[in-house]
Amino acid sequence: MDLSLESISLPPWDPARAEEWNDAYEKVENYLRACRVSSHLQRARLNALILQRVYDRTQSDASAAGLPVSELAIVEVRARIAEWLGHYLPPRADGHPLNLGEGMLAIYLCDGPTRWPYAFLDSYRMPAEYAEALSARVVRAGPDLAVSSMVPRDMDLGLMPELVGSAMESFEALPILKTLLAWLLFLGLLGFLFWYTR
Amino acid sequence: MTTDTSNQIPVQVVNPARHSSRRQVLFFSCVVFLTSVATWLMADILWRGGLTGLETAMLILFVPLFGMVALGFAQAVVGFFVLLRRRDKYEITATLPDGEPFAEQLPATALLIPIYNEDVSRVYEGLRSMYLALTNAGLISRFDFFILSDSTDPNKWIEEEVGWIDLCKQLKGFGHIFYRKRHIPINRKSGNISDFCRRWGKRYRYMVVLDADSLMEAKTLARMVQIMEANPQTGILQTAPQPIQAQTPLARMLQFAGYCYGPIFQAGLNYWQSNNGNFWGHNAIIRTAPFIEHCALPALPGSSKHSRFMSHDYVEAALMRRANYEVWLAYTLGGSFENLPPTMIDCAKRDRRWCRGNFQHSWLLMAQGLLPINRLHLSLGILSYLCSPLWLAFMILGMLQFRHDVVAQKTSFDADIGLSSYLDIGGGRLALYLFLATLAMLTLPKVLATLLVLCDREKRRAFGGGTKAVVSFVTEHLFSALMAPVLMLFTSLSVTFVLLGREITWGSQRRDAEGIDWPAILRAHTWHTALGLIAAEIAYRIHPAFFWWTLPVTLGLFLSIPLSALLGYEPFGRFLNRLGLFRTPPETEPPLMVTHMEKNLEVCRSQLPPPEWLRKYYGVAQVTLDPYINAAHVSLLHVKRKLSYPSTAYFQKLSERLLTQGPAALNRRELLALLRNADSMSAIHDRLWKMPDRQLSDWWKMAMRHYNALTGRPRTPLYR
Repeated sequence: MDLSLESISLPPWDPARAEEWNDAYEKVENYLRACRVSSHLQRARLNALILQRVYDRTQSDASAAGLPVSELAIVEVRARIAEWLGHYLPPRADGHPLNLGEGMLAIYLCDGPTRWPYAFLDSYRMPAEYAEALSARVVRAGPDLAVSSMVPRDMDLGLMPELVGSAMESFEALPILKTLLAWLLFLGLLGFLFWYTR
Repeated sequence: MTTDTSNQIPVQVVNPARHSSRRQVLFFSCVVFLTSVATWLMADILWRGGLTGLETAMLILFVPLFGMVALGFAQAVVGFFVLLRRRDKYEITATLPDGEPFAEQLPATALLIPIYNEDVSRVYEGLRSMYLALTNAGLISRFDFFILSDSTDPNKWIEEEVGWIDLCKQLKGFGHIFYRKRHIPINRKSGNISDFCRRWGKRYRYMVVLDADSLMEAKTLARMVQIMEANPQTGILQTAPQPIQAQTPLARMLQFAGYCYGPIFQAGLNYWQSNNGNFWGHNAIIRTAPFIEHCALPALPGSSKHSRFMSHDYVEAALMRRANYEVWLAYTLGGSFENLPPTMIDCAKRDRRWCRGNFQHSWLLMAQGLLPINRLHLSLGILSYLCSPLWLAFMILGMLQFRHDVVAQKTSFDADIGLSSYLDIGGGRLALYLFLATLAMLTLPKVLATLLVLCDREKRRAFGGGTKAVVSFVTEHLFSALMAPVLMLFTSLSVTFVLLGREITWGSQRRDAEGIDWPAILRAHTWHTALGLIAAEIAYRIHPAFFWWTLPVTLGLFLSIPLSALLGYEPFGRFLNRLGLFRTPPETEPPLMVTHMEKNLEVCRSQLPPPEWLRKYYGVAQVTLDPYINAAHVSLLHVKRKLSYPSTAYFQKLSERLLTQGPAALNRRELLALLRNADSMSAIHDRLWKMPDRQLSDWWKMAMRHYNALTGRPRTPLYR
């Protein structure tokens, strides 16, 4: 993608839509910052280029004219990123091109914007090292599976636990029994106090 | 990535079975002897012309209560002599091969860090320290780290993912540090470990199970593997984790106790249990193959709500022993660390979890095939919690009995009957002697442990000098005595709730700048204070002398609020440190990896956090807003199947609410459901950026500006 500063020729702005274009500018600015493009100059340059392309699109594509400019701007910036990454990232093993998410992950994994702050979306300033780093794009959360079967062995808990277990299950199924027991305990306590105070 | 290619080291056979039986007979004979004599004395005191119902109940309660005191005493005395001789023939570390370990000698070992909504910075900085230590020792090629997350907090989940990627990038650790998030945390920690075993267990001969706050030195890890290699019959090797990073007075006291008193209890424990040791759930190495084959936890009978073991460790040790593999405690290995709870309320919370877990072990007491010693371990675990309500009941009965005697104007208590007639002392004097003997048995282990410190010049220096060690011992003993009744009430409440099958919640603490959460302290301790006052009043009304007898208990309860606040007050902890009190060896000579971790944590915590309103949903904001984090999160989700129409509609509805009303419009389950769905997360990210501002909720508009402007770059636990 050719993004040299010389190629910018700002479009004639319609003052009635200035606010809309301002929103689009802010959106692209925020998006580029979220992409860790930390240089103000770089962001301003890219922003102007993106908006210019959006403007061209609104002029040439009737379907785009009805859409909000900020949406078109984000679509444009993401399309530019995908196109730019397409130069450096090999396609998947199944032949399909990588999607934008996979490309973004590749940038993230090699810390691209931090290590090469002026190379983002700029094919002219793309260091070979960056291009190479982008190709190591896979993140592996775990090693290859080596599946084992881990199942509990039969365990005879003994007669008492089995009986208590089944009693507890009935107990849980009938909450009235719980309440009854609580009252019995309370009555027992009263009985004890009666006996103790005689 | 590590694979198991090494050859076995020649085996040094250890067969301690015969000796361990002899030791067990000797040890438990001592315990039974002490308990029997004390019970006889107690019976003699109570039997003044027969036993009433109350007296019989008191005598019955006395036996397990004194039994536990005798057990601790005997263990400490035995441990004291073992440490005095400076060697134990049947200690597992004696089988360590000579020389430093080489990477080629070590088989593949996985280090597992199961986490559940933990402080991510602490977990990852600990991991970083261990990773660097292993790298510096040239051993990293034989160890892989697995972060096994069961976190249910959406923000923690994202923080963990981001932190993991950043950590791997910084350490070049991809392929050695792995992250696994379970979407449904079945069976909690044990289920998490089992999940690892089922997926990757076969790749590793050993796994070292760590806690979120665990730290282990490279040398220790290598030696553990070496010991396992030298002892093929050993299934689990447990280290004795040493506390570190204590800041509050309570944590500092516990840390001091851990270093000063811990060794004699551990040596005594190893003396009688030898190859029948226990697993404490973390800082231990496990032989993976037998663990997979034999240690899957059985389901529990009874209610489905509590149908899984919460305290899995004791059960796994018992199952390992049932499969004829040994379980050892390597108490002299060192280089194994953990953190301590900072406040009394945190201690109570931890105990509440352990209490529930230990009581579940009662199902296994009569299970077929378990060794008697494992039944004993399980019983002691239960009894350690049951003792609190038993002690409470004993005191209530004692109070009732005393009142009964006062009302009835019984004078026979002081009469020379039974043993006291031969000794020419009354029942009152005999009771006083028994009381003092019990106190001595509770105190003597600490005295012996302090003596061991005082007798060794190096140790004395490590504890800040002889005088300071003694002052620390006295102060610790005093505070422990005051805390004991409060912890007894906490535990009694936990036991009661466990027996009723109910949950107790205290909620999280909100500490002020000085580390004190007054509302939580007042909520937790007001009833202790009230109970202490009422008990003191009743005791005084019964008899002034009885008031003085019960004062050690009632005073602790009465002072519980200031005590809890003081012991959780960090500046006081620092003041004690400046005085040189509760000084411990890792403070005198801090291990390199601990210093390294603390330095990094300081850097992490010095960073400006996002504003409060954003912090609450920061992870959600990150994963939705940030193109990189969204991409990373989606790549870690492995959902490939096509969703049904109702599911798709459900996710669309949630996404709409998230964007137009903000994250607060969704509950935790809904947020987690969205975060688990890869398609939804990609779509939400896309829509958030494309949507005109007027359609977005105010929260997102603010978040977009703050995310970029205030935090500059996404907040990770690492920040470098």
